[in-house]
Amino acid sequence: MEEKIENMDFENAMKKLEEINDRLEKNKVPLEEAVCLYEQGMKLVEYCGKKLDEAEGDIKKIIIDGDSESIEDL
Amino acid sequence: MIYERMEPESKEQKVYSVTDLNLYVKALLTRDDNLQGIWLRGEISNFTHHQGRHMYFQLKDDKSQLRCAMFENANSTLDFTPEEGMDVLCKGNISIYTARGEYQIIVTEMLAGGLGTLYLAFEKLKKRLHEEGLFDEQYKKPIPILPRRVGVVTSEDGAALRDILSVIKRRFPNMDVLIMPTPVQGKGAAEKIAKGIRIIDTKDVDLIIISRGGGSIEDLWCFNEEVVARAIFDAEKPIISAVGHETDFLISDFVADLRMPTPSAAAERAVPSKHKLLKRLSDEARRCARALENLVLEYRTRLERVKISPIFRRPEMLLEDFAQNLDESIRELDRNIRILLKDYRLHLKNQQERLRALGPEDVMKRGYSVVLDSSGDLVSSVTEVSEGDLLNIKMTDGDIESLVKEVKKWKKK
Repeated sequence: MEEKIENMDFENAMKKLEEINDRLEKNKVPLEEAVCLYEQGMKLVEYCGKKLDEAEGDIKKIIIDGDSESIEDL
Repeated sequence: MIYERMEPESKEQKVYSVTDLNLYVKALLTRDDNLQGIWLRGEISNFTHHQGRHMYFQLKDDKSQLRCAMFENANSTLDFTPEEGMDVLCKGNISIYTARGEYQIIVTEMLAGGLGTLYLAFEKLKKRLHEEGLFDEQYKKPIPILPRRVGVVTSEDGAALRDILSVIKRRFPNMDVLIMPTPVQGKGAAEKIAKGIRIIDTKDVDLIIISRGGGSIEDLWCFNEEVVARAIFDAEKPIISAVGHETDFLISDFVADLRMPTPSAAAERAVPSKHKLLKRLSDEARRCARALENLVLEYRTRLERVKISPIFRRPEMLLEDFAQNLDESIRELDRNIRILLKDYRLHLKNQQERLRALGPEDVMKRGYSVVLDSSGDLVSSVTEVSEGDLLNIKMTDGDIESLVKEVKKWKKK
């Protein structure tokens, strides 16, 4: 429960979000706690969205030249 | 010699029985050391395994063939299954099946030649690595759901790479890919593939796909080599093996963390559909907002219900009851006290009456008096008094101070 969002991977963050939704839908949560959960949920949504856009679409290859290596675009 | 036992019809021309001839030839053949323990190479044809016991087949090359028999005691220890068309090496003894006059070889040992030898070695290696634990489930790493960068070990020019890149682009357009180009067949390919795996394992990739796009089993053989298996097992990143042979499993398939039948299938498994993930995310976001909305609505409704309840609007209603109860209690208490008092007064009066009845006043009114001595003590007997004593006589209306003149005690009757 106390794990920082920044340390979660995408799948864990999604699972946490689903857990929050399960709790909110059960209807037994006191109002203050519900608002807090909602805020957490929205933070997770934002985080997951960022994670999906993180990669830049680079396609590179490794070139070995004797003992040296380099990375070039394909 | 056998033929000496025969009875020729004429002394000039020796005529033999078939059996004798066959036996003679058999003896000839079996006596020749060159023909015993001989190694032959050929292709199996007309293979039968009679009732699962003795094997009968032909060995042939492009010009000739030879009948073979391999009896149960020899064939039961074979570590492979001989098959029609298989290229094999056979060790055996040339002989004749006399009853049929058939020239044959009795096979005592058989090895799979050519590709068969390869298969043998493959089976041995597979068994050894399996026993070492390289195929065990416990060492298999899970494939990450959303990798940041995918590593690919394959030939730069092959169809495999094209397929993989196209699937990745389609499913997740902004996915990063790092390629380690390696030869995937030919001499020295296994060592180069192993080296490629070791290099890309040190790079910033979240998983590795090893792939080639099909080909004959000989072309794929480098993925059956131990050096490749070791490299896959030692790697820290999860590895998907997709080396393109639909039905057979190569050793790299067994060691890898996941095996897929084709390069495209590997790419689909490695990379999620961004569209699906976005949809899942937006569904959850909506669910969250809606859940909160419903909660707030429910709380508001409950609040409204409380606000319109009679107690809420006129809270003094609660007090009214209390006040009434209190008044009632006080009245009750008052009533009870009065009753008690009345009882006590009556009781007191009765006691006073009794007291008076027991007291001397009434008696004294009838003429009796109380006699006290000079100390104030009651005198109730003449023995307490002597002549000359002072006595106080109390009457109902006063005292009489008197002096005793004479004391006379009455005699008992």
